[in-house]
Amino acid sequence: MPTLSKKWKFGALLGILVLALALRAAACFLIDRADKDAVEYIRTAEYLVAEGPAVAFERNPRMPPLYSTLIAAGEWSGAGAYCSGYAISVLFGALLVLPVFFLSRALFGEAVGLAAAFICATHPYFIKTSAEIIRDSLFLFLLFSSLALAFTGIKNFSLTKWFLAGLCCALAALTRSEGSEIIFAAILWTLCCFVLQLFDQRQRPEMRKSLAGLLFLLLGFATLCYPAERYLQAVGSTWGPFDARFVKLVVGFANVTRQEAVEMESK
Amino acid sequence: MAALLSISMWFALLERIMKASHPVILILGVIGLVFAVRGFRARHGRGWWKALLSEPSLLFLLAFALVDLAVRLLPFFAGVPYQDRYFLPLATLVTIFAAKAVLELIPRIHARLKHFKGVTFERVFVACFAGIFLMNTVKALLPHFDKPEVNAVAKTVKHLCPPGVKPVLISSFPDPRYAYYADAQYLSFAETDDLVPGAKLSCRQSGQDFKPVIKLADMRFDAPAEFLLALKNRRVLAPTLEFDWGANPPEEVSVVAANYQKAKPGGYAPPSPPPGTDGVKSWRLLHQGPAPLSLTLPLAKYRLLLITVRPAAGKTWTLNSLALDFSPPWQICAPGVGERCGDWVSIGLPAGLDKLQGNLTKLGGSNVFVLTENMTEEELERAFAAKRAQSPLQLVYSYQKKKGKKTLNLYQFKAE
Repeated sequence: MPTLSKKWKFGALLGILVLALALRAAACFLIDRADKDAVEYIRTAEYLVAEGPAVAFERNPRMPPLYSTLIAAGEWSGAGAYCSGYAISVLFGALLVLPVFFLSRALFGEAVGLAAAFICATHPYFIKTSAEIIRDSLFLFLLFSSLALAFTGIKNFSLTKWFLAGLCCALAALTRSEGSEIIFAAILWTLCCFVLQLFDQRQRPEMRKSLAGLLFLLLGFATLCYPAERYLQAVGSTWGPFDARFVKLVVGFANVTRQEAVEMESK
Repeated sequence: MAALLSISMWFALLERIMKASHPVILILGVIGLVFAVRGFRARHGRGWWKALLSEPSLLFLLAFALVDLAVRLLPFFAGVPYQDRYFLPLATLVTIFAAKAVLELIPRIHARLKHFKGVTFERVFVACFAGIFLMNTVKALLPHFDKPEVNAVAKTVKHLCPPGVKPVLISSFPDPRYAYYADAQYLSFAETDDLVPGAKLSCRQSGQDFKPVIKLADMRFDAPAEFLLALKNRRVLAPTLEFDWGANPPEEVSVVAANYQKAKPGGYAPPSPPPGTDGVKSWRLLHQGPAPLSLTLPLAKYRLLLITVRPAAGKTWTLNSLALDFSPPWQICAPGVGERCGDWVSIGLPAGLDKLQGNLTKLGGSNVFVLTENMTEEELERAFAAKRAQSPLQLVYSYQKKKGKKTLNLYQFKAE
């Protein structure tokens, strides 16, 4: 495997980032229409600027607000909601290579980190998603930032990283409600650590670390989510960090017949 | 949970994961996972899985993968409309393992090819990444100019709309992009997909499937009969249920609509509505006389329709046909806000094709445009003729993607 100096590694990562940005920006010009959902984000952003949050979020009270708010910032600055929507998707779509790099570096080493960042930068589906006015690229960046921070937080035992992971997780939940899955993963992980230490006493310190990590993750999550939820509720939004519709999904999953599921899938 | 047993669902799932993560990258990801496990086994020997479980960071990644998979699979198997992009977090994880696979495969490829002249490790390395780059970017940068009609409709609306007034675009299908690009007010007809009558209807009676409209051809009954209709589209506002009794009408017809259903081996279980339960509505009719009976049902949120027909004591009754007419009610609606978000809400205009002229006049003049899908100009003319009304619409743009495929027609309101 070719070995690179630290300077070259940084250069390679920067090059991959620029490549990701260029590919996503180019893809924007190769699509003749925005996504169906794009109209809703743009309209909400326009209403946010023109009429304020109460009117904007009345249009779709369940909508997680972060993506529309970022577009609204672009609209407010004069760039226009339409262009801002594309710019945010392109920017965060390209930035996704960073958490992927850090996560894979922590998992398999520097070379795999760079290779994963390269594959991520050139991945056709990620490019396509980043060239649309949809929240997925922002969501993926925040979700994987949170995951990478939590992962490195475990490896190096850094409570600051756990706290930052909680902040990123909250931002991901403010983009898509699935963002809070990091919290569930951390709870499941802590439970696993608890069970393991029952069988192996040597795991007890790990158990304590996992509890501390979970605590700081929740703290970071609540630091952003709690005030955001309170504010949004005051302006008529029904957004919450945990989507209540998930319970309905579980019920639907339990009750749906095979025939219905197949019909829905083929539709 | 029965959906988990469907093999076709699992194949569909695999297809979606493949689409979201690119087939080659998915295969590389699986290879990378195998390499990673082998590496772990080589480092830790026989008790490698114990070592894996006692490695907290790997355990966390595993927990994340499991939770993410569960969050993605639940809606898929619950029959909720699903898009490939929901698998993007999984696809992102796959890229990490794909990278591992590529870096593990490069030395192996080099070892195989090194006896060829000029094949160096660096060249194999560059060739592999160049291959990945080409494979990915060629697919990513293919132009997607597949919706020319969106811009064409917008251009036509902007061109034909009188100056100084905002255009109004009423579409027969939910796609806000046409109105957005035309800078028009977005309205829709209440029913969207049901321009083909009966297309969304299936009926079960005694275990038999009837599609789409039940033609019974003078079926005779001497006992109460039950028909269960499953409405596939919940957004139907006012379909018409029509019975043709023939010569011997039954004594009593009762219709129960419910928005829940239970699975039962061999088919649907008839809904047994508990009294006063929300989501269940029943109509009890005492039929009088042999004339065909029709019934308009406001079924906005119901999925099941149970029709029970009872004969008079000791008598036989006949049924020639039973049809649930999904002809569009042509009720103009606006996107709901607040609690009605996601629904279409009435804007106080009466339903019916014969009322369309009056409704469009209330909305404006020649700034009002109607967009229909899957309905030709002739079919629309016929629909107006059936209502003994004259069409107030003039075709201004038509688009057919492929011969025999859906037709998109844009009409402008001819204000008198």
